[in-house]
Amino acid sequence: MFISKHIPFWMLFALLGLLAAAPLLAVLGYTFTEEGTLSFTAFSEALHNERILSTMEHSFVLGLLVILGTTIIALPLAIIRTKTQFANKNWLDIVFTIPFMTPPYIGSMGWMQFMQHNGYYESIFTVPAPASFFSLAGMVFIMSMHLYPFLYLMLRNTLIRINGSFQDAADIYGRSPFMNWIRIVLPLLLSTYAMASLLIFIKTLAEFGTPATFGKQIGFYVFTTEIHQYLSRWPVNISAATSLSLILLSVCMVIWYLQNIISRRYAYGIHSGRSSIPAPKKDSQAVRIISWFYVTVILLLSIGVPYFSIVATSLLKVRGDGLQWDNITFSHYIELFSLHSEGFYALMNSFGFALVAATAAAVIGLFTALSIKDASNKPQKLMDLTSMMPNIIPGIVFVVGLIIFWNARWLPATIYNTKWMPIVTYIVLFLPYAVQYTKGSISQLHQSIHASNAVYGTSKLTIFIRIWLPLLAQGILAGWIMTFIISMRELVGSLLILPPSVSTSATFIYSQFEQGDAGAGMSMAVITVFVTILFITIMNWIQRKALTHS
Amino acid sequence: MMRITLNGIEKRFGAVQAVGQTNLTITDQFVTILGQSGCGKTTLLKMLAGLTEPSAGELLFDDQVMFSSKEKTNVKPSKRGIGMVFQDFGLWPHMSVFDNIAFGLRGEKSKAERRHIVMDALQKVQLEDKAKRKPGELSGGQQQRVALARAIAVDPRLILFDEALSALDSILREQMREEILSIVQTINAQAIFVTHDQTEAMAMSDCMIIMEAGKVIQSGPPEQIYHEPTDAYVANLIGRANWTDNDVLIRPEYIHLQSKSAGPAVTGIVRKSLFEGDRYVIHAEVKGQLWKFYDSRPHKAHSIVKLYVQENTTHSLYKQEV
Repeated sequence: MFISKHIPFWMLFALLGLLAAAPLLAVLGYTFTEEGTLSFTAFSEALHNERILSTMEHSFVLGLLVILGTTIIALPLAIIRTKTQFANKNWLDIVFTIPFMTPPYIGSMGWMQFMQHNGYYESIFTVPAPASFFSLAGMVFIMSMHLYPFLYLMLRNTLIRINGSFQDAADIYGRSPFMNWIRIVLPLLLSTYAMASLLIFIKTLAEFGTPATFGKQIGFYVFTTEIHQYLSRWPVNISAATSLSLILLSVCMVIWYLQNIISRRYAYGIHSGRSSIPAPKKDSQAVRIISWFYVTVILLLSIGVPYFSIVATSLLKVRGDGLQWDNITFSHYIELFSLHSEGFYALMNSFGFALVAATAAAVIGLFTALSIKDASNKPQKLMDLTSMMPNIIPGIVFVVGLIIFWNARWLPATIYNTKWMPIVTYIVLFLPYAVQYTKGSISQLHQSIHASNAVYGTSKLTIFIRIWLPLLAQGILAGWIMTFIISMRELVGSLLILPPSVSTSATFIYSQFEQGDAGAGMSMAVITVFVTILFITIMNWIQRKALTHS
Repeated sequence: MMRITLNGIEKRFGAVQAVGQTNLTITDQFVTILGQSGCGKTTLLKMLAGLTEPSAGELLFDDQVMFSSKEKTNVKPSKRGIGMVFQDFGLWPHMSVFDNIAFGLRGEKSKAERRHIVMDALQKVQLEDKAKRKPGELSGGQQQRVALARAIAVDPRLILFDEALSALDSILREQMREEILSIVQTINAQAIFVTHDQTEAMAMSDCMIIMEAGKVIQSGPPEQIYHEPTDAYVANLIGRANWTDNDVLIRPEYIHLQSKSAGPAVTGIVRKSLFEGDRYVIHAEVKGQLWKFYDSRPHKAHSIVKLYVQENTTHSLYKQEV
């Protein structure tokens, strides 16, 4: 009885282990064993390697500066969105997520084309572009412009929650608005800020897109680009790659642990039953001008400029000839959509891989979320952690692990060098999204639903088909769409694990950009972004529809 | 006591009228605003506090203008001399109990004075030993006491209670009612309670203001509202109401099984008897209407009872409308 009841749970656990835990164990095994025995030489050599040390330094400096950059952008935005007439402009939040949803390598390419010599900056302003842009400062700027929405949304949500009776009480008892800010709002905001900035740090460390494009051009190497180099450039140095992966992994785990401590100890239950945005007060002229100006500038820099560059490049015959009407062509798009062209193959591959990966992830995610329930016992907690690991650990570490694991000599069969490899990689990397969205829908349900299932349900199958599927459909679909979107554009995994002569839209954009045929690459980028926005719009529409129904 | 005057105060959120034009004068010490959720009672309270700006009208505390749309005056909440207690307590979670209470005194009183006032307030709510704790370490009832201490510490002339007791369980709620009344009495302040609980409203106030759909539909002492409701909505909201077929209201305590005067008898068929501890509530069908009355013993279902209505205790809604 015990065994039969628990078999599905353990089978699911085994599958998750194979997908998410095995690659990590493979990295550990490869680094710490030499001919079958425990050995620390490879790892300690890595720790004394000049190049690896400077890489670490680069990554840390970059991470700290990006925290600073995103704070400068996001904090004022969050305040503007909660305290001024912008408070009821909810559409802005969708606009603000666009930079975050834009693949970082595409945004970075946009900025590079804008600022480079003979770029759009020079043709618009007819003055030489500041060469100082191609520096660490420029890189921090580009990455901050990509990551700020994340910090902004977290800060804004906390500010809204503070807006309830905490703010009311402060208005009544506080003597000056300034002191209220210092003594009440800021301390309450601090724990959210600390958590969000640690996550920004991890995201910066894990990012590949911008370092691989902009960083490469200015010779600024970080963890991810170095791991990629070790694996893709001759002489291939797997042990350096795994050692570096392990360092990156450890750093992220430590930060993630810190983040957990903060959230457990300092995240007060900022639960105000009536937290609502108050009816916007009439702003003074100065506040109105400053807030409009700020929002416009941020949107211009984070969306306007990169998107302008991408679209312009995709439409120009010869880039050097500049923005002239007779220089405009649709030939890049026509080429992309003609059967048997390289671009068309890449696009279809991306669609196919993303479709299979998203569907598989949605199914696994659904059963995982249902098995985890409220994570009340040890196995459930462990399963929760396993399924969430790809969210904490940088994608490139998993990719390295997947390569080593699926190349292991003792495996009876392998998916390496087949089209299943990218699919499995995407499933592993983006499974947390599928699990989280489904878990989110479950948590929105009243606890008594489990009790009513137990009392009235006739069989597990009926409960699954009649209760869970319809109730969770919206969450599952949202997870599916999310997984699909990010699988479609995933770059670092695709660069490292695609079988020979297979390309995806992301690797196509990357290689075209590298080889100087930016027009073809950028038209693919426009398509990728268009598909992303289309799917997000559908997702928003579904969510809004679900809200009005419940 | 202070005289609170509302002249044509109203609040619109866009096209939605949350509180319609309201004219009121409040002079009693304990006042409740009663109504179902969404009737605009919290909005009205927040306008008194200055947390929500009225769309139009004038608000005076005695002769001081707190808000006037004509004169474009709007006194800040912190300058109105009020305290407020919230349903979810609204205690700042990062500050100790002491700091929460002392917050309203910063910049006004010296450190020693602050200490004295805070400890005095804590003593009034019997929580002197919890001064160093964080709100999150206290029970719901204790947190609400801290919120009350924070309100009385600023020596307000008026304390506003926004559904202050609804987060507490029923035993605690009754206990807190007593405490709040006696504390407000000792500091000689005025109190306005917003609630959707009619027993609470009757027990706690000298004056009740009944709201429905953004409008004040009746105000006055609880006895008056109980015996002479302006409409069926109020009659049904406050206490148990029995109706005759021509809209005459009879409260259950005026229905007797023995004739006490010359009133005529009516016959009813008992439906059920509910035990309430000190008495039974008998449900009986009288001329197609369901009546409730009290007796010291249960009656069998389907038994027939003769009922006498005490004279001069009925209240006709129909008459009033003429």
